[in-house]
Amino acid sequence: MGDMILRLTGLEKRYPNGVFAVRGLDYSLEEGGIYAFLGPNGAGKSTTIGMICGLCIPTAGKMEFRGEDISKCPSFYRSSIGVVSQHGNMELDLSVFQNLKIHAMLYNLPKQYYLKKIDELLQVSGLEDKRDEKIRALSGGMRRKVQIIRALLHDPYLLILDEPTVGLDPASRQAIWDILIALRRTGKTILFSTHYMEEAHIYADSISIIHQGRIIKKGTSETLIKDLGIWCRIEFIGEEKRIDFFSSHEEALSANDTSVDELIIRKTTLEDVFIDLTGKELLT
Amino acid sequence: MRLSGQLQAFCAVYLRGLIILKMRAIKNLISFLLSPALYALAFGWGIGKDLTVEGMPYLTFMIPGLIALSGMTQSFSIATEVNISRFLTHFFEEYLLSPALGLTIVLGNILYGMTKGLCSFMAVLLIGLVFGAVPNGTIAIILPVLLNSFMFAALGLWIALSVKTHRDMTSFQSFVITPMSFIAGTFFSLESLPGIFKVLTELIPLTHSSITIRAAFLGEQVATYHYVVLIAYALFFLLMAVRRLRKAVS
Ligand SMILES: Nc1ncnc2c1ncn2[C@@H]1O[C@H](COP(=O)(O)OP(=O)(O)OP(=O)(O)O)[C@@H](O)[C@H]1O
Ligand SMILES: [Mg+2]
Repeated sequence: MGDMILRLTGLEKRYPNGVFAVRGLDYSLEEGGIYAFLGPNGAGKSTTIGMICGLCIPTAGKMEFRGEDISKCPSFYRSSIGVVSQHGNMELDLSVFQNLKIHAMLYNLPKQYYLKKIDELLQVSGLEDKRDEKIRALSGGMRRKVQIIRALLHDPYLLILDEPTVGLDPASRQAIWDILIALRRTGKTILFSTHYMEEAHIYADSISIIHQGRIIKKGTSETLIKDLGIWCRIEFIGEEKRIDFFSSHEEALSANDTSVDELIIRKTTLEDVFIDLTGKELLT
Repeated sequence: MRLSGQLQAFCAVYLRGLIILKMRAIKNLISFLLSPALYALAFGWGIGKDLTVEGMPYLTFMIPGLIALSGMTQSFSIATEVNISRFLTHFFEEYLLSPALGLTIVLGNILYGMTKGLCSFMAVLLIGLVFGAVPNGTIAIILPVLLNSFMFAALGLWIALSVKTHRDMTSFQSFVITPMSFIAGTFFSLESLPGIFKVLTELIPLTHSSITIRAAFLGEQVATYHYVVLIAYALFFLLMAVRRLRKAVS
């Protein structure tokens, strides 16, 4: 990974109703990486992303883009990021093309450029026949793709996605990730939030586990699992169901419980890390 | 972004408005015609048939008032659309995320509001003609009509960007906009009001719209000060809308 692209220092958000959604966040992104915010509902993922995008005003803290305070160059910063927000913020009665065209004009892109780019991106994502369809007539997966295309139209350095695959079927999720992976190869930096473990595990170079407004752990999928110090997880299924964790091969072998009917043994996963840290289970 | 960039962003905002306006052409046409036609029918024909106000038939007095009133309602109505795109579709985020200046986004929306105001002006003129109220002035009437629309589109934006829920918007409409429509020289002559009320009506922006629009409609002269008040209100609302724009987030 390359140069520092975005740095957050002591970022805080206390909503007017008193909810302390983000409590002092220090975070930085390097160019070319894929970063994940992993956390349960209400952890503060959207609030953090909102602050990074300027859709939510921090109550404390600092944000720098390439070493420059973003409040000093708001217009440059806004054209350097692409945002895919959790709610599909598109004009439902306008067509795909109209939505994209308005975006291109808002970002002052030259007409020859954006007409070509729109066709190209629609093609890549298999939406060329939906060009003149109203957003209202598209499925959730298609809408999300249009949102991503729109966020990429002005060729931002940093793409920010808030739960890009939530509510989509496996095939649509895969299609979205295919687009994002291809994008990463062009050197773009990607920040996404999710509560799908395996997405963070497979795609992210760096995972931050967010809980109650704090990053409680950060690392690669491998280091997070290693740091947990657990070698495997055994589910004992008999009269009752019991789950135990073991830090070594030997320890696991010694746990012979003859009263059970079935044993399910598996290596530690990111999910175990998550449960260990937050005490919460995430459904994947 | 340079000026040319702001201009393109401004066109983007206006383009969105135009597409929506065109898409709902029939519904819009009905809304431009319906309520002025009902007012003209009920008050102009029904009640005010043999009435004269300030030496003219009541209908002739009322039509310019209706132009001001309808212009206000239609231009202000962009507030509802802004609310829908803030709280329902979240499309407004698209503007907030964009590198365009707040002023650019506000002006694009105001021009859309003014376009609606202008359409309603033509609709009311037409209704006036049908009911026999022929304008006596010149094309100069366009000036107060546009000022009126600008002012209320800007007010609509300011309010829409300030409220926290759509319900607050409805309250503003029933407590401010609706009362204003009746006591601003739209339906009756302010000459007949007792002194203190007359002073109060001077504070209402719509009063100055109906006075200037009526004078232009009848081809009469009017004190410049009414225009000064209109411009002052318009600029004030514009300023407030721009100040609110990027703050209209959580
Ligand atoms: N506009 C708001 N006003 C007040 N409180 C809010 C607002 N938005 C979010 N919150 C609160 O802030 C906390 C963090 O919410 P946030 O939406 O950031 O969580 P999240 O991690 O994105 O959750 P999810 O997975 O459900 O999207 C929650 O307790 C939520 O209730
Ligand atoms: Mg969220």
